[in-house]
Amino acid sequence: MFRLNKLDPRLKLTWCLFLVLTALMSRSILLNGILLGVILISELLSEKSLKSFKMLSVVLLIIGSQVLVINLIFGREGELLYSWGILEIYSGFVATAILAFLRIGIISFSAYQFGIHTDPMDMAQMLIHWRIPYRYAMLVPMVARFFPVMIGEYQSICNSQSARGVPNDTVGEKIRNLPASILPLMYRAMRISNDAALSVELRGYGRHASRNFQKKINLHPLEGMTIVCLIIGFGGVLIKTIL
Amino acid sequence: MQNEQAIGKRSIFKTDTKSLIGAVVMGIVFVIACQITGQIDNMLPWGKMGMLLINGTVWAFFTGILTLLYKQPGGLIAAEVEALISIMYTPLWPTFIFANGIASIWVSFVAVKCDMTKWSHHILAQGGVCVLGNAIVGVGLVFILGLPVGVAAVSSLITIAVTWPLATLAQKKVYDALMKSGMVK
Amino acid sequence: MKPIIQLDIKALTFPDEREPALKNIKLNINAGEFIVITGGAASGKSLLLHAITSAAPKFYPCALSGTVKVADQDVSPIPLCQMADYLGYMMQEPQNQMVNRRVGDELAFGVSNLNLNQEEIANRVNEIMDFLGIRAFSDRTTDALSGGQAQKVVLGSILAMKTPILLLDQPTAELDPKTSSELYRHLGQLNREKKVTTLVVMDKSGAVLKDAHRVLVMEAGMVKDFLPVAEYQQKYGVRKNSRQAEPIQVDENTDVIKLTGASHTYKGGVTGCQPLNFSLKKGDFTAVIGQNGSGKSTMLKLIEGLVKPSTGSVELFGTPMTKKNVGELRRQIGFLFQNPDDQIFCSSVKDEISYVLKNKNLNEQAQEQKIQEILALIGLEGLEEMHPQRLSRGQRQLLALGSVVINDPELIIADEPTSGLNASQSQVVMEKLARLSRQGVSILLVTHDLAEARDFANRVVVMHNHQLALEFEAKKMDDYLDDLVRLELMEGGDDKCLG
Repeated sequence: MFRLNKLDPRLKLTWCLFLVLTALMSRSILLNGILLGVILISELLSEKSLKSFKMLSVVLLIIGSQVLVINLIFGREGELLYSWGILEIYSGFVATAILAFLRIGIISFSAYQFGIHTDPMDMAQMLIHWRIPYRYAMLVPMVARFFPVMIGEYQSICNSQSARGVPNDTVGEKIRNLPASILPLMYRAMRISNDAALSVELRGYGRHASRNFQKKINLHPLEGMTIVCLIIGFGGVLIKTIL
Repeated sequence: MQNEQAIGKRSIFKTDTKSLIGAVVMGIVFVIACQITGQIDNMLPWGKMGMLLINGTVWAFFTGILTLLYKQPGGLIAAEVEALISIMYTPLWPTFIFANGIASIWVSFVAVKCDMTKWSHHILAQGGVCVLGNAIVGVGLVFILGLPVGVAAVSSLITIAVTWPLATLAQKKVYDALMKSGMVK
Repeated sequence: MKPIIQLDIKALTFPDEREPALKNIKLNINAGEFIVITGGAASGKSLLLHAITSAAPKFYPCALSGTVKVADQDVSPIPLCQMADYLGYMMQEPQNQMVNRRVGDELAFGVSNLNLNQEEIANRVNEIMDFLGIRAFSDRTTDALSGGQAQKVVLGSILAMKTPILLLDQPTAELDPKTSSELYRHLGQLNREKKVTTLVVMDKSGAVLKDAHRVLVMEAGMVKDFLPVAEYQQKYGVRKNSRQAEPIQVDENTDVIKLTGASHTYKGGVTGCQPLNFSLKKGDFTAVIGQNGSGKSTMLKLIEGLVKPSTGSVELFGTPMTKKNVGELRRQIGFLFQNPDDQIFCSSVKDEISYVLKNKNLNEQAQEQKIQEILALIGLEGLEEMHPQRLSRGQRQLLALGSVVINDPELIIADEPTSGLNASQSQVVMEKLARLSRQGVSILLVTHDLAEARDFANRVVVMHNHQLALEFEAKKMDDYLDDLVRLELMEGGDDKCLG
C-alpha cells in the first residue's frame, strides 16, 4: 500500500523542490493545475482523506481572495474592461489571479505534505547523510518536540494573564498587551532551552563525532531512479521556460 | 551592564549546545509571535489589504534580537526555524528562507562592528533587516502572489517606513531588559 | 568502601557576586550509597550537584577553586558531554528535559549518543521500559504525557545509559504523593540491586528518606551536617503537624463561589470534570486535593471563567458568571498560579507589583505607600529595582502573590502555588496566604501537599475521577488517612504519613 511516510526523505524532498521550483518557473495554468492535482491525489491515495489540508486550505483561500481583489484593482494586463474614475479593470486579472492561486497552492501544499509525512528523525538522518554534523542535524527533531510545548506554554501564559484581568478584547488592547504574553514566553523559552541543553549534554550529546539511530533511513534503488527522473523533468521545464 | 554588553561583541560565532538549543526554542517563540501579530494585523484595515505592519515589526525585532543573543549559527537557526514553520500559514515561505537568513547575517555584521550599546547601533542593525527583508519579500509578492510590481513596491516601502523605527525601539528596549535580567550572560 | 565522588571545594563564586555560593566543602561519597541532600533556600544544594557534574563552571560560568573527582578522575578537564560516561543527571521539570517527539526516541536518545549498535540500543530501551513499567506509552508523543509519566521517561533515558552514578534535583517536586512514592521505589530498587550511587536533592515531602543511607544538610553554601538517616531524623525531626493556631472566621451565610451541577467536557469528549456541587463561604480557606488528572484544574478553569460549564452554573459573589460579566468578577479575585513565570513580565519588581494599579485612580504617594506595604508583606523590601528573573523561584512566587494582593482581592485562588518550591520557600508562601486568610480574605487552594492542606486550610475537599469524592475539616485529616489511601492520594501500609 502506498504510504507517503514510508518513503525516503530524500525522495520526498526532491519531489517537494521539484513542485515548488516548477510552480515558480512555469506560467502555464494547465501544468500548475496538473501539479496541484497530483499533490491532492497522492495525499488521497496515502491518507484516504484530505483532512490534514483543511486548515491550510482556509488560509490559502483568504490569501487567494486578497490576491484576486488586489489584481482586480491594480492589475494592468489585458484589455480595459471597465473604468470608473481612477478605478480601471483589465481582462488579465482573472488569469493572473488563477495562476497565483495555483502557485500558492502548490508551494504551500507540497511543503506542508513533506513536513507532515516526514519523521523529524528521518530528516535529521538525511542531513547527517549530507555531512551536516549531528549536533546540528538533531535540532530538527527538537523543533518538532518543542513546538507543541511552547504552544502549551503560550496558552498557559494567556490563561494566566486573562485570569489576572489583563484586558485583551479590542485590537488596541491586544497590541498594548503584546509584551504581557510575549515577554514571559521569552523568559520561559530561555529557561526551557537551558534545562534542555544541560540535559542533552549530560546524556552524551556531542560525546562522539557521530551517533546511531534506532531506525535508519535507506534509499531504495527505485526511489533513487525517481529522484533522477524528477531532476530530468525539472530540467525539461527549465529549458522550455527559457526557450 | 556595560561589562555584560561588552562580552557580547567579541565574536560572531557561538556554537555551544546552550546557544543551539536556545536558538531552536526561541525560533519557535518567533513563530508564535508572528502568528499572533499576523492575526492582529488581519483585524486592521491595512492587514486586509495584505500589509502586515505589526507582524513585520515583530519579525524584524525577533530577527535582530535573536541574532544578538545567540550570534551565529544560532541567529540563522532561529530565523530559519521561523521560515520553515511558516509553511503552515503562508505561501511566501520560500522568500522567508532568504529574507530571514540575509537579515540575520546583516545583524551579525553590525554586531561585530558595533557594541550595541547605542541607539545608532540598533538603528543601523534594524535598517538593514527591514530594507533587505522587505525587499526580498517584495520579490515574493510579485513572483509568488502575482501582485503588480508597483503594488509590491509600495507595500514594501510602507512596511519599511513603519517597521524600522518600531522594531528599533523594541530591539533596544528588550536587549537592555534581557541584559538586566541576567539570563543572557 | 571506596569513594566514587570526592569533593574538595574551597570556593565556587559566580561573576558579579562577592560571596562564594559554595565554600569549604570536603566530603567523600562511597560507591553504592544513597545520599539525600537537604537545606534551606539558596543553601547550595542544586549547585553542589552542578559542581559534581562539572556543569558549574562549564555550563554555568563561575570560578571554582578546589577539586571535584568522580571515579578517581578530576572532572575539570573532562568535557561536559563526556561526563555521561560517569553519571546521569535529572532535574525538576521533565518536560524541559525531553528533546524528542516520541517516547521511544527519547528513551534511546542517550544510548544513541554513545554510538552503540542498533541491537544494543533496542535491548537497553526494552530493558528500561520493563523496569519502569512504561511500555504502554512507548509510542506516545512526549508532550501528551502526564507529569509522572514524563519524569519516568526522562529517568528511563538516563538509566538506559547505565551510568554508575545518578544525580537527581528534586525529581518529584511537581508530582502527586503517590506518583512520587512510585518513583522513589524505583530509585531504591536500583540502588539496592544495581548498586547505583544515588544523590537526591530532597523536596518538601521527605518521602525519599525511606531508601536513603545518609543525609547531607547544607547551609549558606557549606556542609552543615552529614549524618546517617536515623541520626538526621533524630536531630532534625520529621515534618511535624504545624497547624495554624488561630481559627478562621467563616461567614456561613455568604457564598463567594458556588458551583451548581457544573461540569465540563473538552473537545473530543474528554471529561474535564463531572457535575460538581461546591461552595466556598466568605472568609473560608478551603484546600482542594487530588491526584494529577483528577479534575482539579478543570474545576479551577470553570471558576476562573476560562472554560464554560457544559452543564450547571457557576456563581461568584452571588452573581451568575456570564461572558459579559466575567471580566468584572475577575477583578475581585486574585489568581496565584503554579508557575509564577506565566504572569511575570515587567522588568523590575516594583513595576510588576504596581502593574494593576495603572488602571486605578490613586495618586503617586498613595501608590508608593501601597507598593511599600506589599513589599513588606512579601519580604522583598530593598529589591524594588531588581529584575524579577534574577529572583529565586520562591521569591518570584512571592512577587506573584504581591502583584495579586495589591489589588485587595476578596478571594484568592491559588493553584499549586508551592509546586516546585522547597520546604522553607513553601512555608513562607503558605504563611503569607494564612495571614491574608486571617485578615478575612477567602482562599481556595489547590495542592498536592496533604500536610500543607492540613496545616493551613480550614476545610479540605478531595477530587477523584473528575468528581468531588470527600470533604472534611482540615484539622481532622489524620482521621481520614484510610480514605486518602483509597482515593490514591497516598500509599498504604503501616507507615503512612502526610510527609
